[in-house]
Amino acid sequence: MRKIRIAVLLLLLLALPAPAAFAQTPYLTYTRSGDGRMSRTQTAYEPIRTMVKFGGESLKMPSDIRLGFDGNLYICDSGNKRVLVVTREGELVREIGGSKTLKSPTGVFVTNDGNVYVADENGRAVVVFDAQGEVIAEYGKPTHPLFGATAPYKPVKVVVDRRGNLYVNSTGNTNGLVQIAPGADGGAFLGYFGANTTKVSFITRIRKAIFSDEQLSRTAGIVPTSVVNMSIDAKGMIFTVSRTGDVNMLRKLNVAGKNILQPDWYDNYPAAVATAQNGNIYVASQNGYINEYTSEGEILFVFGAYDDGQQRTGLFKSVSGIAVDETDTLYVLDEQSGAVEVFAPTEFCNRVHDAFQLFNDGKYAESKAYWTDILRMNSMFSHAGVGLGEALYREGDYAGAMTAFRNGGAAEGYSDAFWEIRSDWLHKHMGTILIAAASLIVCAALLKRLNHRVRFTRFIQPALAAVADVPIVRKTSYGFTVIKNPFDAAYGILRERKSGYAAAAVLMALYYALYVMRKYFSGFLFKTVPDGVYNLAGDFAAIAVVYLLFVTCCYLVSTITEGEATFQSLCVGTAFALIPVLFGTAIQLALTNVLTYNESFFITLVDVVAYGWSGLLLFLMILYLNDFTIKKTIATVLLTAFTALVFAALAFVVYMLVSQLIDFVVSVYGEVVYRFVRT
Amino acid sequence: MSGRRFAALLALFCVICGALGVSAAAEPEASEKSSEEASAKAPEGYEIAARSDEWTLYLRRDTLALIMENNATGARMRSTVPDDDQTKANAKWKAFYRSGIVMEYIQGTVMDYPQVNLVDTPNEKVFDFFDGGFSCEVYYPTLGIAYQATVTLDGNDVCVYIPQSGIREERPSEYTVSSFYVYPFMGYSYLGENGGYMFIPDGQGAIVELEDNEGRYLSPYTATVYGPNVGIVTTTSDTLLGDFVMNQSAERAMIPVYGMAHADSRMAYASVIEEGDVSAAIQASFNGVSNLPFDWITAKYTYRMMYSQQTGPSSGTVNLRTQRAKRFDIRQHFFFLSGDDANYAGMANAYGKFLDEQGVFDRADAARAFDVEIDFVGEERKNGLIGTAAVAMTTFEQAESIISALNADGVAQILGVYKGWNENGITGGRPTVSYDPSGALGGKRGLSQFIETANALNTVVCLDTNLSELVPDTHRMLAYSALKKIDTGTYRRPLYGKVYEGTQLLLTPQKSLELAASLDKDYAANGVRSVSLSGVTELVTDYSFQNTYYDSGDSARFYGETAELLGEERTLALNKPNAYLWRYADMLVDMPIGSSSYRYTTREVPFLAITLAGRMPFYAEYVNDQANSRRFFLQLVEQGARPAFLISDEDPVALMDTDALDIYSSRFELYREMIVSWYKELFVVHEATQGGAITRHAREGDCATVKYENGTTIYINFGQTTSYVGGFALDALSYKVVAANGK
Repeated sequence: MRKIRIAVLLLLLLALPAPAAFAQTPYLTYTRSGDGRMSRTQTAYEPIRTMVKFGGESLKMPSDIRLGFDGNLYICDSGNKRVLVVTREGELVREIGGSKTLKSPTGVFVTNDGNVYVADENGRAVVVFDAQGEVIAEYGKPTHPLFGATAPYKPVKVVVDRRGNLYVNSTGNTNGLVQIAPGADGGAFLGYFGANTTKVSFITRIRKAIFSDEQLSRTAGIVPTSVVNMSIDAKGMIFTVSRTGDVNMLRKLNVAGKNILQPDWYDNYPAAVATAQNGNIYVASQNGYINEYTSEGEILFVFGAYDDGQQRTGLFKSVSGIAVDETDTLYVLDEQSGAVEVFAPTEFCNRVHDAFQLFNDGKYAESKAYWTDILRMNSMFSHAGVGLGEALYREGDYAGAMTAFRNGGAAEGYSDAFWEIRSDWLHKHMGTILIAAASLIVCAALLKRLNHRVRFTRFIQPALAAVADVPIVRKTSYGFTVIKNPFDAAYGILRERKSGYAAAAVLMALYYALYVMRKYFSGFLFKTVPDGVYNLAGDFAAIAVVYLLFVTCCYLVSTITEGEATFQSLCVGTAFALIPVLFGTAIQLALTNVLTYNESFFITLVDVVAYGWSGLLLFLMILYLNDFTIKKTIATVLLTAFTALVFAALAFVVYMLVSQLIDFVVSVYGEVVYRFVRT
Repeated sequence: MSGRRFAALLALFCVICGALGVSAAAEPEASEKSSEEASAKAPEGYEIAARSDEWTLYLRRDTLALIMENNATGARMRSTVPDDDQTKANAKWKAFYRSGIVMEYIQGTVMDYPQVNLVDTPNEKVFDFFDGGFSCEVYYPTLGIAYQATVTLDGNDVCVYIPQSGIREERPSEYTVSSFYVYPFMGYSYLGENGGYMFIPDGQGAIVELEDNEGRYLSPYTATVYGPNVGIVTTTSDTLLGDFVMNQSAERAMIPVYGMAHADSRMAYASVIEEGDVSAAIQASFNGVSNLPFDWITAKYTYRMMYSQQTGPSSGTVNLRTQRAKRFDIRQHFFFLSGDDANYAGMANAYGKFLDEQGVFDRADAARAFDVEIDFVGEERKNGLIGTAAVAMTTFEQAESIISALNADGVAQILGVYKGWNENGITGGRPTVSYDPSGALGGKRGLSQFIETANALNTVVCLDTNLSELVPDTHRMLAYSALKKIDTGTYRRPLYGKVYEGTQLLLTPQKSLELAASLDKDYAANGVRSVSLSGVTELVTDYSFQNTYYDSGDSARFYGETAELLGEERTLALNKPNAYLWRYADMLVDMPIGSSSYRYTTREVPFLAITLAGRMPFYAEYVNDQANSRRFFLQLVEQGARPAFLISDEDPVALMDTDALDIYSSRFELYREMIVSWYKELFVVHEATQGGAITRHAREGDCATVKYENGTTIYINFGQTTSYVGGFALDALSYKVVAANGK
């Protein structure tokens, strides 16, 4: 009998409904790679189900979703003027609201005590329901004078802090979130909170400077971008998302309403934000992308995609809300399809979260195994590189840390590790270095004295003299006269023809070579272009164009202003004036490979000195070559800059005209071929 | 009723449900009937067209509608909706679903495909009945078009044959045939009342349960057999976030098969397209789509289509018809199944047997010893100060060390595939034009030595050979052989790389074959005995070459010849190949483990695995990309697939400045332990099943049960908690192998 019972039980178990499929995700997942760019990684979240029916109820244009403390999902079902309370598996628990109490609900929030706050845009109020669905309060338009008599009050989203204060996002009101203290008669208006800032463009600045007040009043005003959605975390921090088109899209507001987050990645069309228990922030884009940030605002994963009609689980038509539970499972609301897509973190994602948890708790040594495992799964995962680097750094494995930081693209960490290694090396070899330096000095002194007696340098002096007498060498080395005595140099270039085009070309070629080396072969800490990106032709064109444009324009202006400089003299003078930059670049190239961020000041200093010096020499060359006064030289320099701008504009116009002409010819040819030849 | 009796009845009920994988409703027509009764009670308007020991085929002459009846049970499956249906569909739909065969035609150059049917379009039919079936010529006098359809019954196989030679177009300048639907409503279901499911060939395979969808789905599943026809599709479907492609393409329909299973009658069919597959698309429609209450699945065969020809770069188009009809006959089988076979496992086995009869697996070494696939990452290119520079990820010497190390660890047999073995590396090395091993990896001598050593260690080393993709930056002259779409525009796919910017092209199938001929000689001269062919294996397309239209059948023929040529004298592994190429392969690699996760999919099923098990060695997609590695391992156990690892000696961080950014995890040092442990564990499973055929597969809850022909059963628990299956308690994410003797 017992055996039969077991058999029946097992067969019943076999007849249970099938589970979610283990299918390929319809989207790719990206993370930050060590070179700062985004690169592919394993799936972080996979869609496990799509919920469209809730006990026979469907959603119509749902606009917001929150996870209540009872573990249920609260969905603002805007089209049906209600809030649906459903389990995370999609079973209907109850309905709140309806057309009798709500006009057009667009935002929902649930407090710990189970009260449900609904932002009713056309109802011009935030309506509060108790856990049984009865209306217990209503917050209409504040009457406080500071709110502003004309300020609009159309609540679209709402969050509530632990003290019961409401933060209402009112559409069209750009002063910030409306902060309302709880209480009878619509509560008390506390003020505006966390307004977005405005960006003043260059054009606007010019407009402000030259327009009259009347003209300004007729132009479109600069208003801050409106908040699209918001959420509040367990610590009471409010997160807002706005369509600013920059990193200010996501803001984390402290109690004073100040933003304390600077994300390193942004989305152009954020629709909703939510925070997980581990502090990670999720921003859902209207276009169907989900962005997961660390609590510090560093992008961790980007995944998801737009549904172009494929009907694949995990794609979206138009996202309007996101919620996350304690297992980091995501519930993402699609406004157009009226569906809730559920995403579960993968093994890989959980591993990353666990590693971050240990790392943020300061348990670097414990996190090491996790980071190593994550790097096995994705060697380019920058966060893992940084995490492993920190762990190794604290273990004293600076070489390992340096490699890990390098792979993770963490320049600060790399700098610290490099500093330690360099320090160790100096400690070990300081004695040797001192002895070698002293030996060199002694040897030099001995050689000098010996030379006095034996004059062995007489054997190489003729050769050196012969080299120095080679015309190109002589004419190029004349450039050093510019540094020593610019006036004499100018005279020599202009009157005595002591140098020429060839010398200028040699110096510019040298400058180009050093510029390229500085750009592409600097040390990791001071390199300004990404690895693997080279553009020698572009660099050459940039240097050649700027140089020739400057010389040409300067010559034209000098001619008009009766200067004496010839085109050749300006070519040579300009090239010679760049000698300090040339040396500065060489010094910088050497320094970038041995300095850390602690000594980066030296790099800047070299820049300032070299470019300042070259600028001064250039000014003096224009002055002396033209035999101008200082005042006239300043005017010439300014006119040269202006002429260069005119040339650039002219070149652009010509380019556009030629492009259009080519397009026209191609179009005519295409028409002829397709209409008459191939059809 | 005693408790024992009740339990036994309940158990019987559950066994039936379990075998079908559905919670079945009571079966209305499943009562036992004698064959005499069945023949005596032909449905009204129908007559017996053919009869076999197990099945009777009825025909209704006016609409060519069929009914298939099981002689033993009397269970029936209809090919059309009866005339008395009360649905509110419009007249066009009603005519469609009451006709056995529906044709679409093109009128002049009008961009439309009107339908003609056998219900409300005037037509003339001439029947010819013979033993085992009938033939019928259908003539539409208003269009001047006729076609001939032959339907035969052989055992459980109903075969519909429409030869192209039987299609007659009397006024081709006015009316021409566009496409055919062959018994589109075969086995249809009304609001899911039959219970059961439709099988769709999405990747590994998936089923869509028959249930009332309450209008959830708005569009049907449509898949061109063997993948999207890139010569016709004019737009790229990439969803971009900045420069990042965010969407992942859906899995291809690699096999020309679909199916329908009814739970109430325990009857099912697997439909296999024998001829016309390269010009067919499979459509599965669900109740609610087009406001119809039916679930139905069919194949659509296209002979001609209309397209827009752009006349200028920015504006102007003319509508054109393809130059000629595609050249193919339609031959489609419906293999009817009943009882315990009326499920996806039965369908897969029916397809497998069909392929056996076709001799598809004659060449494959089904008994090949269990091995693991190791794909080596060879050379890739990064930008240098001038030109590009090599990034050597695994030199031939290092690959030799890896094989030796694995061998020493107990991995007795390996299938090696070398990617990026030639100059220009993984990305720029496409297509493979000659035997030119990378100097940075060790050159010709290094590669020869590696292959020799590997062979001595039971490792077959296949050289990856891509003969369709073309990176113009490295093969400028080949750009003249780029594939052009039917509108004569060059097919281009954006490349989002750092090194090779711009677009990727495809070679014409003629050029692919030409390159294969040249490579064949080159490989023979250099002793290359194993090749892994990619690119052409995943593609079938219409295209234009020298202003002449070539259809998808032409491309398939060229690709078939390409595979045949390269595999004639050597071991040939095919990458994710379409089914029509399987006959040329020794093994299949990079096979999909899952499906495309369509919302209407109830779950995925290991259809390909069941088809291939015991017939052809097949290897799964890379372990490296899997975010849930344990679950993936269990899927390998479930499907009997062999694991594949992408391996490099160097850290893939070195690829950061290359275009191979999708290789982010491959370092051998970090994978060594995993390869060894997976090999050893899966080897034991393989030994237990003896690499045989799968006879039964069921999935209930989180657990799967797989039965092999040698009696071995494998129970797998994919869940996160302990489950009971087959009388065993299985821990979370674990499995159990039980031999035929119960041990």
